[in-house]
Amino acid sequence: MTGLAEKHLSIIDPAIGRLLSRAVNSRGLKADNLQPRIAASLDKLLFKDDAGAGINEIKAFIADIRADDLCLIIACELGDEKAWEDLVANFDSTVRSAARKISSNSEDAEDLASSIWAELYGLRQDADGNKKSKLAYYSGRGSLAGWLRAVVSQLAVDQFRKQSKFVQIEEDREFENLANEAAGHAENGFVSHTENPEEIFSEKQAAADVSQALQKAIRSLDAEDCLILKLYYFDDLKLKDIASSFGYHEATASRKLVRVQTEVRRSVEKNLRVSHGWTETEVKHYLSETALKLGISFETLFTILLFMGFLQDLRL
Amino acid sequence: MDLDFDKEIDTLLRKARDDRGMNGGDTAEMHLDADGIAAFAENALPEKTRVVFTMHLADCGRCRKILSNVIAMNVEAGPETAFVAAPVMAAASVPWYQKLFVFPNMAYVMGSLVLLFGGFFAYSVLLNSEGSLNSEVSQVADTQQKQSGPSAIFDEPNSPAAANTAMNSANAMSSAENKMVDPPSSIKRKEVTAPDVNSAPAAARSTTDVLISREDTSERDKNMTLDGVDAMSGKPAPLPFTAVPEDRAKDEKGDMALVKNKKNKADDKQDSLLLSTRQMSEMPLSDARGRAKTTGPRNNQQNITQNQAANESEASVTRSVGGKNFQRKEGVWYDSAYHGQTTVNIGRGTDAFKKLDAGLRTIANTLDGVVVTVWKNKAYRIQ
Repeated sequence: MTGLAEKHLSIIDPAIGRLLSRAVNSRGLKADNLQPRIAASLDKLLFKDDAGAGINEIKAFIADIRADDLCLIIACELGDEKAWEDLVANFDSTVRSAARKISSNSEDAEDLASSIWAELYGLRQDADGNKKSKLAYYSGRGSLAGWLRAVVSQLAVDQFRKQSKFVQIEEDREFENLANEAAGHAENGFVSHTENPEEIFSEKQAAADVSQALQKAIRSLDAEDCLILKLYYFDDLKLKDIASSFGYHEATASRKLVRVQTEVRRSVEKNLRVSHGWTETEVKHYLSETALKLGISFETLFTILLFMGFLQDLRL
Repeated sequence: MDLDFDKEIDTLLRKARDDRGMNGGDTAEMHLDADGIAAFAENALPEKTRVVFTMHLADCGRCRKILSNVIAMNVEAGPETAFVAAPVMAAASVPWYQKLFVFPNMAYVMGSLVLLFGGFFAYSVLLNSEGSLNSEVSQVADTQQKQSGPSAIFDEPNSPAAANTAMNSANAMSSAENKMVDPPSSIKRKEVTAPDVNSAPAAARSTTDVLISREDTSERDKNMTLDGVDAMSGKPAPLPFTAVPEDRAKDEKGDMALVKNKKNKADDKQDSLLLSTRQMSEMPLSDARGRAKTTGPRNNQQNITQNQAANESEASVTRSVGGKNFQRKEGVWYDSAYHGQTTVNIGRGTDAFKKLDAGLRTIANTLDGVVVTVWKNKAYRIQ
């Protein structure tokens, strides 16, 4: 227990007592069983970023802990067989469902789910021979189901990033080889371009300028605005779902996004003019043309999708 | 939701999603753990911690990817994740009686009340209708007894015609029994049609009435001479149908006296009058009458003898049960204390029977068939 948590034991202990009394099924746990975990959670999620947190913050933090979920996890750690039965019975479907959503096929999903349960049970051991279980990281601030989904997602993303790094290295080599081959062909005069090379160069240059300006604009955003923008544009989340995670209404999130777009436009236009020497007309022309091109391509894609759906219906 | 987005910037940002530099790399030295990300997704972090987490998530593509996965899966899993504790607290704070007024419960409660009151109303109506049925039947029996008064049946209990009296009263009882089987409408029909029996053609009478009058007349005809005079009492025969109002009965009595005065003068005429009276009842009766006419007084005398013997044998069946004397007449046990009071009709084995006094039930169980008795100043007819 750190000094900060220990300093507030007189506040923490009664709060833990209230937490236990609030639990529908405390699984026979005492305040002593919960105290180390709650102290660790306070250090990790409260004192780390707010060393001066007062009595009210500490009380509120403990009061918001999900008593039954935390009792279940700590009982599992203490080897309560009934708690394990309940955990598997109530949350195996959550783990498997999350694994299916993240994995590309059912075999991978099964492997992922099995790995998660192994991690939860603690098949690995530390240097002292103690079980290393992921259960030790659950604070009880979020729901147990949400935590399990996060654990599944974390494992899947880490596995994917490891694999993609390996694949990336391989792909880069292939691209290098292809680029060398193409350069050789070009030198021999086998490659012909239908468009003017100057136009191609200017288009590429313009795209690079816009990309740089856009990156700069996004980086200049407030962290929350930046996260909202990325969750919406890069991760395809709905505004409603993003808003609920931030604790406000969908309309508020929508207004925020509109404001962020305005900021981004202003920043991009300024950056293109100042840093890349674009004129006002060039900026407006490029942005409108890009939007038009992408809009057309979206429409084409949509039409193709509709046509494919129609064909599928005909087959059925 | 209708978004008033900047289409050009919107398009640029969508296009930029595949740009590695734009997406945020994996540059962070320390990543958030699953617990922190899950708590962030459910907006369950302290404010200052949340700001720090937001800054990390805005820059770290890896942690943001985990976060977006968790948010999407939480949404698909439904509200159980984020709001599990809220309904429990709400349920605990709502008193049970307030739940009755929640819309679906309110509907159930109202429906139950309607059914309850409806059932109660139907039950009370049923009880009333049963009570009225009993009273109607008893009234009919009373009426018949009163109506048979003018025909000098109850007036002479010690006369040789006492047996006939008993028989007639038994007939009245049996006719009452018949009416008990019929719905009240048939009883009403009898009351309405009875006065017109002598004036209306036989075809106008209902089947039930014909059956009842046939029984009455057949019994009466046993003691009857061809002249229409009761051989036992020497009085004119009552009309074929007994359920006749008193004033009407007086008129008929006068008519019969008129007939008696004229019989010496015109036998054929009287015969035809009697025949016309018979024709108002039934053809088989006319046949019996025809035979009686051919055999003459000798056959009539035999009838009288047989009737007397039958009456005597029936009158001799008496039993004493529970300190009460019962006399069996026409298969019905009559309490000696019974003098034609209004009876309460009760069937054996019914709930009403079970509610009777033990002594009364013992009497009813000891005697077979229909029992008419008086118990605590109240007349019962148990069958």
